[in-house]
Amino acid sequence: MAHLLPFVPVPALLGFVILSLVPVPLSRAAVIALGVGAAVLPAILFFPVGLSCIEGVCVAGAVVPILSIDTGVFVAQIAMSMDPLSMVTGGTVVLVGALVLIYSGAYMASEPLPDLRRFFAVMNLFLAGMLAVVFAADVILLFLGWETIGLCSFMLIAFYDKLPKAVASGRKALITTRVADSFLLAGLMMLFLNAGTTRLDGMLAAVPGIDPWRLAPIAFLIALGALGKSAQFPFHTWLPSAMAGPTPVSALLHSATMVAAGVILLARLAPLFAAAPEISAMVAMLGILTAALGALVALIQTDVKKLLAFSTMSQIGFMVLALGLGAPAVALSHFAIHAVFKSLLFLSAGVMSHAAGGSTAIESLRGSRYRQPLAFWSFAVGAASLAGLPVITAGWYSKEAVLAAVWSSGPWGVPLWLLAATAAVLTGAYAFRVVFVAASQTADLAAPAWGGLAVVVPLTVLTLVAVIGGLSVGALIQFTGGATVHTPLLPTLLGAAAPILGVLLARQLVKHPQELEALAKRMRHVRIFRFEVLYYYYFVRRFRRVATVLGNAEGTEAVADAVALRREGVDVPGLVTDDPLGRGASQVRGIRTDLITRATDGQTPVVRMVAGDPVGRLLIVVARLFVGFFVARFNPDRIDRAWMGLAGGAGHAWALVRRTQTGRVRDHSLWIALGCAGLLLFAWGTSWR
Amino acid sequence: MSSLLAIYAGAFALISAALSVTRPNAVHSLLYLVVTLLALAVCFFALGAAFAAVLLIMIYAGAIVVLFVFVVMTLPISPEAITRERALLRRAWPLPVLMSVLIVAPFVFGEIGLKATGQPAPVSAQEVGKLLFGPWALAVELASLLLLAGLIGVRHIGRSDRSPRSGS
Amino acid sequence: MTGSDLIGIMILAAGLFAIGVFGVLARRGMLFQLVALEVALSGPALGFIAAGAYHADPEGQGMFILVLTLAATEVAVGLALFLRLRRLTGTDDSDAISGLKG
Repeated sequence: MAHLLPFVPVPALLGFVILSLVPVPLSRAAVIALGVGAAVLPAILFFPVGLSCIEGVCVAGAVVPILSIDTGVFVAQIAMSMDPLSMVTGGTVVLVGALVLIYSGAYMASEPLPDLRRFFAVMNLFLAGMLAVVFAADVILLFLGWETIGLCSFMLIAFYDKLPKAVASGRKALITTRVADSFLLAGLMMLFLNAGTTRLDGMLAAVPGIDPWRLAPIAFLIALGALGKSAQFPFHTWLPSAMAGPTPVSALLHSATMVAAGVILLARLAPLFAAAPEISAMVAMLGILTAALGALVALIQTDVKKLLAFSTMSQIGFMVLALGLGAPAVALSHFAIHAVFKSLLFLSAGVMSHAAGGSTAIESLRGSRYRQPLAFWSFAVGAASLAGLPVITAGWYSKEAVLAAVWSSGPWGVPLWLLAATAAVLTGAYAFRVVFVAASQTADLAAPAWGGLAVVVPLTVLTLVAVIGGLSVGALIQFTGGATVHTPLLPTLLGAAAPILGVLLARQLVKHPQELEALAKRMRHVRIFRFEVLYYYYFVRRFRRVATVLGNAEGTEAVADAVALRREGVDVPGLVTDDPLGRGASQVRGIRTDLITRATDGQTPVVRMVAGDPVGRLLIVVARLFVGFFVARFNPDRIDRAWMGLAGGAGHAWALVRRTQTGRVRDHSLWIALGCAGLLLFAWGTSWR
Repeated sequence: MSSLLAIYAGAFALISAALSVTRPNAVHSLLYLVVTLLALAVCFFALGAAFAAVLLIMIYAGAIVVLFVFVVMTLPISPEAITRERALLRRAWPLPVLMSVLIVAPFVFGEIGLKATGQPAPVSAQEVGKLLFGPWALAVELASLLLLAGLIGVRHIGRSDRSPRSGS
Repeated sequence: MTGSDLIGIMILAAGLFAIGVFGVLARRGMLFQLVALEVALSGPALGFIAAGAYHADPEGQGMFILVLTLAATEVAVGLALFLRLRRLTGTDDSDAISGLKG
C-alpha cells in the first residue's frame, strides 16, 4: 500500500487544476461536487495507507521515493516519508480537510458562481500543499508545499476582495509569513550546505557532525520560520486579522492545519533542536509566552472568531512549549486533538452565527441553544475539549500530556508548569464564556433553517472524535516514539482542577459582565497585544514625555512639582529666582527648570539633608560646576539646532539623490555599465602580474 | 588557417556591429545587424562550431530579425525622424564611448600578455546534445520555464485595452 | 601565431559587447536600443564558442544555446513592450517614459 502514498495529494491538485485552469463553464452543483470530491478522495486514498501502518509498515525513516534530479554535483531526491509522524499529521489533515470541505459545500453555496469556483480551487490547492508539507521527506517538497499554503492563505483571507479590510489582512499575513519564510529558506540552505543532501533523514543524520557554532544559527533561523507560520509571539499579529476570511477557511487554515505547519516542521527536525539547547529554550519561552498572553487576550474578546483565533495562538503556544522542552510526540498528539476540536468549534460557531443573522459578536449568539441545538451542543463539546475538562474530553488527555512533559522537564519545570496551568485556567474561562452566553435564554428565537447533511455529518464526526479521541492519546504518543511520562498525583489533580476553575470563572464573568468590562479596561495595554499599538504605548509615548521634559515645556510635571514644593515653603533651587548658575535666559521665560537642574537640586529633601555637612555640600558644588561647564553647553537650543540642521540636510541630500533617479533607460543602463566596468577593472587589477 | 579566418570574420562582425548601432535609419541598422550575425556565423564555422553557426543563422538572423522587421514595418520612417535621430546621437556620444572603452580596456590589457596555446577543435552536435540532456537537464528546464514566462508575459502585455476580459 | 588566436577572438568578443553597451547608452529610440542589446548579447556568445572550441569542450556551445534562448525571450518581451509603449505614449523615445504608473 506504500506506493499509494504519493497519490494522496493528487486528487486535490487535480481539483485545483480543473477548477481554475480548464476554461469550461461549470454549473454550481458541478463546482461544489468537484471541489468537495477532490478533498474527500485524498481521505479515501489515505485510508489503506493508514491501515498498512497498523501492520507495522511505518517505522521511523521509511520513505517512498518519487523521483531524483541529478544535477551533477549532488542528487536531489524527492520523496515522501511514511514514518509515524507523517502518518499522524497526514491522517489529521485529510480528515479535517475532507470534513471542512463538505461543510463549506453548504456554507458557501450562496456565493456567486465565479467566487465559488475560486474558493474551491484555492481550497483544493491548499489541501494539496498541506499534504505535501506533512508527507515531505525532503526539503524541496517541504518548501514547495510551505510556500503553496502561504500563498493560498493570502488568497483565502483576501477572499472577499471587495472589502479593503480583507485585502489588507491578507497582505499583512502574506508579508509577515514571507519574512519568516525567508528566514526558514536561509536556515534550510545553510543546513543543506553543511549536510550535503536535501533529504531530511540525511540532514538529521549529519547534525552530530556539525560544529555547534554553525548549528545554533541554523536552528535559530529555522525556528523563526516555523514560529512565523505558526503565529507565535514575534510574528503573531497576522493571525487575528486573518479571520477576515470565510469561516471554513478559518476552520481549516488558521486553526487546524496551516498554522500548525510550524509545529510539524519543528517536530520533524526535533533532533536538530535537541542538539541546540539554547535555541530550544528560546522556542519554549516564546511558546509559553504566547500560550499565556493569547489566553489572557482571548478572555476579553467580544467577537467569537477573534476569540477562537487567540485561542489557536495560545494552543499552538502549548505545542511549541512541548517541542521546546524536547517532547515532540506530545506536541503532535496535541496537534491532532487540537485540529479536531478547533475545527469543530469554528464550524459550529459558523452555524450559530449564521442563525444569528451573520454576526460573529458573542452577544448575538445569545439563545443559540434553542435556535440551533446541534450546533450549540457540538460547540459545547468542542469548548469542553478546548478547556480540557477531565476524563471525558480528548483535550484533557493531550493537554495533560503537555503539562506532564512540562512538569518533568528539569529545574525550570515547576514554574513553567504553574504558568502553563494558569493559561489552562484562562482557557477554560474563555471557552466557556461563549458557551454560557449561547446557552442563555433570549426573546428572539426566530430560527432560520439551515443545516442538512453537509452540516450534520462533519459536526457529528468531529464531535465524536473530540470526545472519544482522548482514548487514543496514549497510543499516539507511543506511536510517534515518545515515552509516556508519569507525573506525581498532585500536579495531575491540580491540572484537572484548572479547567474546572476556569469554567467557574467563566460562570462568574457571564453573570457579572461589568467585571469583565472592568477587566478589559484594566487590560487595555494587553488587549493592544498588537505590536504597533504596544509600540506606541511603551516607546513613542515615553519618548514624547522625555522630549517635553528635555524641551522645558511649561506645564510639565517637573515644573508643576517644583511650583508645588515652593508653595509649601520648601526651598527649590531649580526655579528661576535663585538659579545657582545664574543663567540669564531663564529670567526672560519666567518659571523654568530642566532635567539637569532637577537631577542636581530638584530633589530637594535629599539635597537639604546633605546640605548641612561640608562634605555633602562640596559634592553638590562639584556637581554644579560639572553641570555648568559641560552639561549646560548642550542646552536644548543647541541640540535642537543641530538636530534640525541634520533634518534639513537630509532634505537636501534627498533632493540631490533624487536627481540621479531620472527614470530614463539610458541613465540606468549607464549605472549598470559603470558597475560592469568597475568589476572588470577589479578583475584585471587582481590578476595583475 | 581556420583561426585566421575566424579573426577576420570576427573583425568584420565588429565593424558592421559598430555601423549597426550608429545608423539613424532603422532599416539600415537592421541590415547591418544581419551582416554582423552572418559574419559571426562564419566565425563560428571557422572555429569548428558548425551546429552553433547553423543555429545562429536560423534563430538569430532568421527568426529574431524577422520579428524586428515586422515591428519596423509598423514604424513611419520619415526623413525628419532620421535627422532627429542623427542630431540626438551627435549630442549623446562621449559618455557612452568612455564607458565602452572602460569595458574593453581590461580585456585588451589583461589578456595581451597571456600565453594561450592550442588549436580550435571541432565539437560535434552530438556532444552538445549529450551535455544538454544529461548533466545540464536542469538548466534546459529552467530555459524552457523562461520561454514560458516570456510567452505568458508577452501575451499579457500585448492584450488590447478595449476589451479587458477578452479571451481569458 | 596559434598561441594568441584565442586572445584575439576574446578581445573581439569584448569589443562586440562594448559596442552593444555603447548603443544602449547612446541611442534614445527604443528599437535601436533593442538592436544594440542583440549586438551586446552576441559578444558573450562568441566568447563562449571560442573558449569551447579551444578547449574542445561542448559546454561552450551549451552556454551559447542558453544565451540564444535568453535572447529570443528578451526580443519577444522587448518588442511587445515597445509596441505597447508606443501605443500608450505615441513616441518611441525611451527618455519620454521616465515615470512610474504611466
